[in-house]
Amino acid sequence: MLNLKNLQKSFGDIQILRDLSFTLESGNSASIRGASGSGKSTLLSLIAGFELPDGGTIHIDDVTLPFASDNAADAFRRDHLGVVFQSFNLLDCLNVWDNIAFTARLKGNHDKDFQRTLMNDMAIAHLSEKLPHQLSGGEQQRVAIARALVHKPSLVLADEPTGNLDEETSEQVANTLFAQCRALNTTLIVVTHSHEVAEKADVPLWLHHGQLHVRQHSPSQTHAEQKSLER
Amino acid sequence: MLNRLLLVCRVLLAMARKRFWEPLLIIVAIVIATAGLSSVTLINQGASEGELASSQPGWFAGGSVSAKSTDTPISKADYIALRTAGFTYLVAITETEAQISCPANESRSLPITITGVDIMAALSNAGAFGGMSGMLNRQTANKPIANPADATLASNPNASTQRTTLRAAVSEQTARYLNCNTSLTGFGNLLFNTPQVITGLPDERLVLPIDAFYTEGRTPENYPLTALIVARTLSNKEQAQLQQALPGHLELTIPPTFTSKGTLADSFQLNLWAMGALMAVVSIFIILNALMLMYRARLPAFIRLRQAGVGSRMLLSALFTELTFYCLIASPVGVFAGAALTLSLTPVLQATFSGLFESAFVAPSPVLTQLIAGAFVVSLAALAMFFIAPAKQLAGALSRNRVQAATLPPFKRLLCSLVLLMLIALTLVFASSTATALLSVAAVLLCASALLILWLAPLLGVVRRLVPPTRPLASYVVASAQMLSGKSRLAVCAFFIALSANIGMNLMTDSFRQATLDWLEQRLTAPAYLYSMQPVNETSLPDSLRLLPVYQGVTSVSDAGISDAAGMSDAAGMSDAAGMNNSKVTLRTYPSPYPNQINLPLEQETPSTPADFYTGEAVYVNQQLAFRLGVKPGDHLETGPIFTLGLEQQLLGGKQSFRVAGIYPDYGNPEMQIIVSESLIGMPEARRNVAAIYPALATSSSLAAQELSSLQELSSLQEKLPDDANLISSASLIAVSMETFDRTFVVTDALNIATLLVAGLAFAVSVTLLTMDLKPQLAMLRTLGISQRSIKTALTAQYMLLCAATAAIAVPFGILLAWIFIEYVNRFAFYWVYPLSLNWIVLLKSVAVSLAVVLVVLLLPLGRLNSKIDLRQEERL
Repeated sequence: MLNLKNLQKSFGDIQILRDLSFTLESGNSASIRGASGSGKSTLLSLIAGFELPDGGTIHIDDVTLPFASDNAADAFRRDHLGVVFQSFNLLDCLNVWDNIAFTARLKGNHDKDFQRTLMNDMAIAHLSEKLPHQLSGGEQQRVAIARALVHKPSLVLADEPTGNLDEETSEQVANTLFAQCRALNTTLIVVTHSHEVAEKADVPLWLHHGQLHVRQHSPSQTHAEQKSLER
Repeated sequence: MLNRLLLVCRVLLAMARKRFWEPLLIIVAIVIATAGLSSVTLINQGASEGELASSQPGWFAGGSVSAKSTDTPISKADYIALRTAGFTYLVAITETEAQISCPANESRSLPITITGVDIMAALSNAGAFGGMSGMLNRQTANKPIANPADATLASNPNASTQRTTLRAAVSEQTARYLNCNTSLTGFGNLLFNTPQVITGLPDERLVLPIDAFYTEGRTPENYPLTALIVARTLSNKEQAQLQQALPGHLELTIPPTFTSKGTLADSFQLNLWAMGALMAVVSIFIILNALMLMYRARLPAFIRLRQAGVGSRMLLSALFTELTFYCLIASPVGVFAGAALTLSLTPVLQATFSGLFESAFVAPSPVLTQLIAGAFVVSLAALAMFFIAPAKQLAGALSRNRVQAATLPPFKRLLCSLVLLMLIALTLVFASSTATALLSVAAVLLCASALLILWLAPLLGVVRRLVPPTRPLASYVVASAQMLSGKSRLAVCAFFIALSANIGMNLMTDSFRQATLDWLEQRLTAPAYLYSMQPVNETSLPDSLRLLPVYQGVTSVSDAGISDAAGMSDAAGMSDAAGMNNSKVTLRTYPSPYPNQINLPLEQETPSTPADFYTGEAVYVNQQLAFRLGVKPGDHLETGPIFTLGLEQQLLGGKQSFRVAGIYPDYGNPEMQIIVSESLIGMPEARRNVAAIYPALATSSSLAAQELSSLQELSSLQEKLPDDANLISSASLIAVSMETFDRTFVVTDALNIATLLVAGLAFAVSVTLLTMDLKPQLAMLRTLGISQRSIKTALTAQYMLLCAATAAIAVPFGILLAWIFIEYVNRFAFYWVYPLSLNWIVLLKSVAVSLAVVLVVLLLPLGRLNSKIDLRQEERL
């Protein structure tokens, strides 16, 4: 279970998160939307322990953030976390198989059969020997998702996973991400601008004025605007 | 058009400001290259001027007229008659021996030859007496005057009368021997101010005007003229005319005219240019590497500029303008740095030249505008040559896909490697001169660099396969190093060239040092040696000691003077001898108390030689002679008449013929030399200022060493010797020689380390810049739970792995370079070779030092690296 309690974060005079609280059950997924600069990525960075909150606490299953030491943070990320980036960030010197296996090998739980199944399910098994620069954007993102899941983390954070992809590929990648997380009972939080991707989550959220709102549309949008957008 | 160019240039300079490390690296590399270029130019200028100054013909080079018998010497009337008859090139000299002393150093009384010269006649003839013009000026200014103040300084208690003060002249070597900074006394009542040092004067003489000589009761009658020097080289016709005009009691001696030049200046300059070329190659690689990095980082901007309608030619012009701008900034700085470096090194170079080469080094006077213009043109031209192809490719790119590098399939890689190796072999097969040998060195470096580019990635691939998959970080380190080897290949090449050259030079120096040490230990067979300006009388030594003087002479060998055992002339086979007509060869004796035993470290020897050697039939020749004239053991060598070293006297007239018994190494000697038996030139005139001292009863060299090894015995012997005699043990001589050797190579070592440091720096900067590009990946690694320290360790490890792999390839090529330096460059430039000794400690030290240099240079940027985790690390276009 993910539990955020009274989270606060400021950059200089600008307060990004104001007493933000939120709970998500294990195995569920949440999507976070919001205007640019609203603090979506900051929230993700706080959950991953990349940045420290100014106030409040984060509980992920039996782990409490912020961590006591850097080593503890590293160990948490290694064992419990999977991250999917907008720009894929594959290790360009390793082939697809090694890129995916990397996280599992780091954790020490590399299961080749599981990796093979994962790759088959994500339709990237035939790309094992390819290097990242030989793949299309959609393929690279599918590899990145496989890498985020292969070590069986309890939480996957995805930051704009479809931001660099076309509509059709976005649909495929998002389906894969949500389907795999559900199948593995992994908690997923996706930051996105895409209405279609956000709709796939169990809990669609809006980040507005430093607070999370459970709703389909932006709190600032009028019903008419939303209708217009959807048209 | 111009506006557009300026606009693009402004964009480029804005980019340069943003990533200032890359242009800074380019500027630093150009500074280093131009500094090296200016240093080499100035050092060569100093060496050439020094060589010119010290290569003035000796006084007796043109010949001399002397009396056939001491009973009928040359009279003043003879001299006047000959000059009146038109032989105005004759210059009279008169000589006498004297004991002079230095009042500042009362215990020293030194024997020396006082030489009076007809200054006016000498100055009317240029050439041999050219350096004496200053003496005349000083003489006029310092006309003999009474100097009672100086007289009081004199140690002579009988100097009650006023003394005449004179300025005499001496050679550089004699000035060192006199070692007196005050006036000299001991020649009647004449008082000599600190002698003026004039290059080209004969040694062991104090030279003064003849009218000053003939004072205080000395007249041409009681001190007759000793010789009439021929002040210039005479034609055969002129020689015959002079012969005819000479009175019956006088004779003309004409020494051989040597047509061959000394090899020192050429060899030294060649060596320096080779070193300069090495630095230039490394600099070019560094600059190109920096250019590539810079252009790679700017590629997205180039593409955008092209997409915005900037033509490829316009972009290329702007890039070249930017490069010209960097050259304009860097060239003057480099020239100033090079000039300052050379001037600060001048005292060291002067000491090295006089100590090791017995030559002079004149402090260079740099013409900065000329040097800056030259450096600018050379650096810009070199850069333009290498810049065009890659810049054109980049400037033409409209999308990123067009500039992706292609990988070579294994078969083609193997084929390319074979072609490169064959190219190296071919240059070695056809190396027949210093220039072609240096071309081989260049070919080795360039082909090896190409091989490195071809094989470094596969080599790292093999290492990668050896890393177990359970070590993902180690696996990533090797894979990343493999990928970096392609991206930083020019920096890797610069490092590789510097390291290979460093290994080659270190191995060569170490081999040379070992060979020199062995040679000295074998050559210095006497327990001690006695150095003195005047011959030491053997009676002044204890009975237990035996004095064996060294005799030296000079002769000429012509092309046709060599024949094989069958008597066939070998001139056709002498590749090195082409163009040599009458080469100067020095002769020396080999002082050994043990008949039929020669301890020379001979490389080749014909059977039953010692007996033939002692009878004067056989001789030993040094490698310099053997290589230059193509002489083999068993050949017959015909020489001209033999003269004393200064050509004053003829020791043996007519042609001499010898059988070559063996060839000995003679490291450091720029001249051709023959070791002959004492029975041939063992005359007082040929006796030199060095003699070997052996125990009289010694029966073997080891026993001799035991008998004289006691330092006490040597110091007690020194007390019994004359003031000017200096006794030096063999051990001290070896120690001093090796000290000089090591001192000489300090400059080379410093240059090597500097080159390595520069290459290491370039390598470090390039990998640091690449690391900046890797930042998104590093951030990603941090998200995967890898600690900051692990990432820094991994980065250091991958760069060190890249260096270690480069070093692994550099070692065999470094050894090959050392072999080429010794067997080809040294042979053709200096005419001697020595065995290559593969000292593993030297090899390991070279590699360890280079890796340490890179590690130290890397620590700073990597220490400051902070791979902050940022979810939005965006890859640049």
